[in-house]
Amino acid sequence: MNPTAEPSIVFRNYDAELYAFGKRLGEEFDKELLRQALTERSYIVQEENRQKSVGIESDLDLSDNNFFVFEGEQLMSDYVTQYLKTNLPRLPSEYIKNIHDFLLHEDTLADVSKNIGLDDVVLCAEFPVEKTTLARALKGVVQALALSEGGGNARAKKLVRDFVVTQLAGQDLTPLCSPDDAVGTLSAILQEQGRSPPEPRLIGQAGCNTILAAFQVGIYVDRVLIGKGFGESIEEAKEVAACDALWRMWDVAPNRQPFPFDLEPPPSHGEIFQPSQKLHSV
Amino acid sequence: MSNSHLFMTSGFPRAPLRNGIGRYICQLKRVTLKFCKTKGDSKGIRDFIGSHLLGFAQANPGVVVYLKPRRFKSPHIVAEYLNGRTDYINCHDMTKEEVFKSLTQMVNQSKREVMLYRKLWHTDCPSIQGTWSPFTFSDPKLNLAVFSSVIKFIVSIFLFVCDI
Repeated sequence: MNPTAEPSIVFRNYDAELYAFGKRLGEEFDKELLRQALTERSYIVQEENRQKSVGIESDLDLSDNNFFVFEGEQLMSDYVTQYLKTNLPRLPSEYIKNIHDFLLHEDTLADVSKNIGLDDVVLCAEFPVEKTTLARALKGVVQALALSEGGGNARAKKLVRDFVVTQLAGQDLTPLCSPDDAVGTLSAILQEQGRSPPEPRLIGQAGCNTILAAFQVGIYVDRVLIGKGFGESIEEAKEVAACDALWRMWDVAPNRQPFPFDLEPPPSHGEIFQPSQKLHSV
Repeated sequence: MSNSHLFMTSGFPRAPLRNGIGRYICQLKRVTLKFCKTKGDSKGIRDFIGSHLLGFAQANPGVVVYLKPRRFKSPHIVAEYLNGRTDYINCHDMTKEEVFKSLTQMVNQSKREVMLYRKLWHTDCPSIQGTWSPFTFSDPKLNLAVFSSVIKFIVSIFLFVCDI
């Protein structure tokens, strides 16, 4: 709720809104923790100034959400990395990081935040609420749930899984996993695995010497086709084919199986991670 | 098709925020019941508040319910959704069952923009065979090279020489 917003919302009951917010997500929040997680520094400053302007001694008992945001971001980041590493075991860590950064990007988080109704309950000075504030509020909420009595770390992770990780559904991962030098990367990886070097072969061409030329290149390793690609020139087609081979190798091709979004979060630190039953059946 | 359809956007049915993949969240976030305490046309909504409202609020804890008694104003329900849209239903002379029906309808919809559906389903990957290319339906026979007997003979001699 934002007091500087529209006059029509003055009658709104902040406690009721907070309660409904928690129930909407199907979670049991500790009321005070949730309220603190949604209080921005800018709101406290604004309230203090308002009290001063009418000559009241400032005695606000409010603390801001900086700690919540920091801790919540850590929790989210750890869980998202763990989830991606579990489900994309063959993808190198630099691309895991790309997908992780996409999921924890301000725009993605702000979109999630807005769509679960956080823009109505966050306490901040500006209106309309900025994307940064929305993303911060979501991180704060995750931490508030982790600290709540009815919540805990496992429930907070489930919240991240259900609202942040699900943004991967229908998302094309290939732009996030495209190396600059695909042929070089592919050769390096094959060499590491002790396999023979990739052998690009022209497997189709049409319209040579025209502006609509199309070349199809296949990449073979030990006489087995591992990737195909098209291009307007042979060099370009080779690069695309190498990318295709890498995507298939890493299991991020567009035709991959959907992510298991019902995967149970693993136990927290100190406990040995056991893959759940779901993982085996996938 | 009427003129109002000319500027209607077209698209595919999509769930807001991939709703239901992770968990389902009710898209109705706030509902305000406005009514008059004395006028006859508000009778249904007053009966509803007296008998069904608590049950409704308990069944939908994620929806904030506000009551606004307004003297001599016509009764109506204003619903606000998570996507920022609002819905308005006039409850003039409605019975309490009709009010309940309207509210249930509001709970069950997402108030997405009304659009012309191009299909009644949506897929991110509409093509199974992949992008079309000039070689998509090429004859598989082309994969099998046929050597003439002369070439076969030369190749066998070449392999024989290589072995020695």
